[in-house]
Amino acid sequence: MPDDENMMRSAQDPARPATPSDEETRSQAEWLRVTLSSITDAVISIDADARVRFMNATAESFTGWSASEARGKALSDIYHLLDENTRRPRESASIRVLREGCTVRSPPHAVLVAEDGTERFIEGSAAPVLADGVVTGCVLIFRDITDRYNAEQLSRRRDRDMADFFENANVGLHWVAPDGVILRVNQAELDLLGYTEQELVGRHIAEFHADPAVADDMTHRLSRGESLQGYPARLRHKDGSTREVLINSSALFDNDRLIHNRCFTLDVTARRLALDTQLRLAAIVETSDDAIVSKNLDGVINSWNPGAERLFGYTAAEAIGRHIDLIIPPELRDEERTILRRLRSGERIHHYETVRCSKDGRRINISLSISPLKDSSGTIIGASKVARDITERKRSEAERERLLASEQSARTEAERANRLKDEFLATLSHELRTPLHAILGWVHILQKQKPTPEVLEQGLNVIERNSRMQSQLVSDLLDMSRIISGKMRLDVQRVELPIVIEAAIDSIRPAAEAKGIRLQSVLEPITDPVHGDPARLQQIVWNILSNAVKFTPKGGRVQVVLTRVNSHIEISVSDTGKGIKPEFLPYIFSRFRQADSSAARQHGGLGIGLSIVKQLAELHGGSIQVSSDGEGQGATFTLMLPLAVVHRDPVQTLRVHPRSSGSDWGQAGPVDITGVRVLVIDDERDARDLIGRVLEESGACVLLAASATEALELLKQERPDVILSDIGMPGQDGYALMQTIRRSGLRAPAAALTAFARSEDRTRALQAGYQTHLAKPIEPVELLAAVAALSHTSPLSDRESDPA
Amino acid sequence: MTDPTTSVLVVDDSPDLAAMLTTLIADEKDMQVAGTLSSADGLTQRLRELEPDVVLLDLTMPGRDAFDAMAEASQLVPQTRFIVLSGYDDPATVAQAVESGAWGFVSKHGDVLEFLTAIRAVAAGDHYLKSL
Repeated sequence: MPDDENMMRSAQDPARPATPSDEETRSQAEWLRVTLSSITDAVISIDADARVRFMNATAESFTGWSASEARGKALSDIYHLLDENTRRPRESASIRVLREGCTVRSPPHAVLVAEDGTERFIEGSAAPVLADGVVTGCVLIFRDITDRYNAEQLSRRRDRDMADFFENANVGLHWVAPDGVILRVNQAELDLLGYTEQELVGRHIAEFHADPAVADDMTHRLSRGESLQGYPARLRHKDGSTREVLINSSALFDNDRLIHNRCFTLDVTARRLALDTQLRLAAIVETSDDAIVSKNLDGVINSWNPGAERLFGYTAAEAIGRHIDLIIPPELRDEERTILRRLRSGERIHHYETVRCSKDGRRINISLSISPLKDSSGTIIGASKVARDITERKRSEAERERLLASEQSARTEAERANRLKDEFLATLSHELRTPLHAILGWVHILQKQKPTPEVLEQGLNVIERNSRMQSQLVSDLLDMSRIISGKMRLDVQRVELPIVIEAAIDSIRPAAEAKGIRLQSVLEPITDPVHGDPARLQQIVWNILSNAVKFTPKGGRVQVVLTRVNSHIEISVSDTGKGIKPEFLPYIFSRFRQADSSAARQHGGLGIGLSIVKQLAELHGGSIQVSSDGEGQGATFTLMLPLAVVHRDPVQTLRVHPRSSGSDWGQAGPVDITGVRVLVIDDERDARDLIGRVLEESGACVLLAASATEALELLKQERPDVILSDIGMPGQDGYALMQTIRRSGLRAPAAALTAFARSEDRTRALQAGYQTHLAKPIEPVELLAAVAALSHTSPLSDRESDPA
Repeated sequence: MTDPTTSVLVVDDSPDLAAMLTTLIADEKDMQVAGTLSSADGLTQRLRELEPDVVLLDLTMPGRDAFDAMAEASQLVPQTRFIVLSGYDDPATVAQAVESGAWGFVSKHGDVLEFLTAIRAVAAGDHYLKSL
């Protein structure tokens, strides 16, 4: 008790003198005991030797010792302290109190181990008991802080875990205050946006959204307590680019007060790009014109795009699951096996040209590109094939080849033509010089000496003959020139063919007789009219006869036959001469072509005679043919001339020659062209007036123009129903005129009048815009029929739309 | 060539030209006409018969190819020398004539009396291609 009393006294007021009464002292001690027993803190008092003098109930509970057992024991026997971290025993603060006489707080992290091993985190202090300034003991007061300590530890661990999670999460994280200011961001988010923490924290979240409205919407929804899952947004990277993100976010509330929004930011830029790429690829595959097919290594088809459906004719449903042999021609199956072998070794195959079969059995030329398909581990599991239809390309290539060949052929032809021209010039030179040489030589002879009458006569004959020969050459050249330039004019009239032929025979007779060639003629009396230029017809016959005599050896025979065959006249000249090689037959009427054009050729001549004959025959609306069984077999030339369609009084024929073959306009009988307005354009006044008169007599209204310019001027005011135009005119010719008219939009049907009736002239006229082509001079009946046909039948007529 | 006069054979299918040539040759004191032919048929044989010193040969004639005939005759009757007289005087024709044995070539485009100069030159053992 005295200990207790002392302790209590010292606890009460160590400095105050102990002078109370016993009753007072007992009462005070009881008060102290009750107080110390009832408080939740543990109290242990020790004496100066650190022996226990008192401990309250709480201290008993904490140490596992009863007060009575503990009294007198050394404090260290009942009071075991450990350092939490080192688990080593710790000195009680009371020791230091006894030693130093000051109040000491218990060290942190002190663990009190009870007698039964129970451990408690404690916290407290020790104060000295002083008597007259001397430390006589110490009072330890401590409490159990285990629960609080554990709670703090837990909280610290949670904070640490949170921080760890926050910082180390591989998705972006940020917290946003209710006012939108960024409170916290993690490294992943910083990495995502390229900023430092300092650059982000404290700024408004909307600044980092590419779409501010999205940021507002998110903030609004979160403030209403909504959770956002996979909210798509676009954030701005520091480098200016945009990151596609999905945001999961929720708000943290504390008693309905919004603390902050927590946002998880998942970067899906790459995923979006990959998806976009995938979608694009899918779209390409879907819309590609090429067939895109995949198959496994066994050749079984796995995919089949619409391009493949179009190219091969099988639907995807029909093809998928089938073997690729479905489209491979049987003879090319080995090729597929080779391809599969190359694919298995990882090889790509580019632009392999081959053939495949479509469902309907067609063979298709294709170009194949094949790539191996690999799974995620890199193992080849199949192949992707892109097949392009190259049928068109193959066709183009063939076409190009053809054009190339054609171009080469054209070049060869041009070179040949050039060579022919050179040869012709050499021949021309020779042919002109030979008679000239004879003439000059004889002139020299006659001048040099006084010739005898015989020599004089001989010389004059030579000179005359060779002059005529030259004259003939020049005539032929001029004829050829006229024909080429389209200037050949025929003086057409009714012709008595037997007379023409006889005249030709007579003129060739001396040459034939000189070679001992027999000339025979069988001329059928022709009563039907034939129109033509008698001089030119005689020229044709003479040329053929001259040719026959030239190539027929001495003692040979030349026969002329005139006969009517159906609607035309035939004049044939057959000889027993050297004949014509079959390979030369196609060129016999070509200009400058001679079977032998060398200097040592056996026969002279320019090589244009038969060409002129052919052109003259065609100008007469006729034709000429040749036949020969070959060299040494003789030859037969046959001239065919049409009979005149309608016999008109010769007076009314206007330097006419028969129309060209193939015309659709030649109809006999009267035609009605009353009221038809016809524009006639011809620079030759007589021709223009004559045509005008013929048309007017038949009721047509005629407009006359002497040139293209005059015609175009007239057309500004007039709208003719039919246009008839000459082609060869000074200034703008008939082709150019019609092109100008057509360009102006005028659609009146038109006929070209030309003296030249070659097929190329007809073509050119049609190309220029004429509806037809009439050989000029033209038969009146043909002219009228043509105008009637053009005005009545042509849909091009402007008559309907013209009220006048 | 001991004989001071040169005998010339004219081969030309044009009677007018042949008559002119023979008339002009006959007028020359150092020449005489050995004969005329209107083709090269049987040329070698005629040379052996007529033994001309010089042949004036046209190229464009009916019958045997003049180049062939000249080539053969040049081999078989080497003492006779050929002068080609032609309206064709392009290099290819001249070359072919020389290759076929011609000593001279006279173009009908040249002076009408040039062939006489050529005859004298060839008779003297020279080649004659001057006016080309």
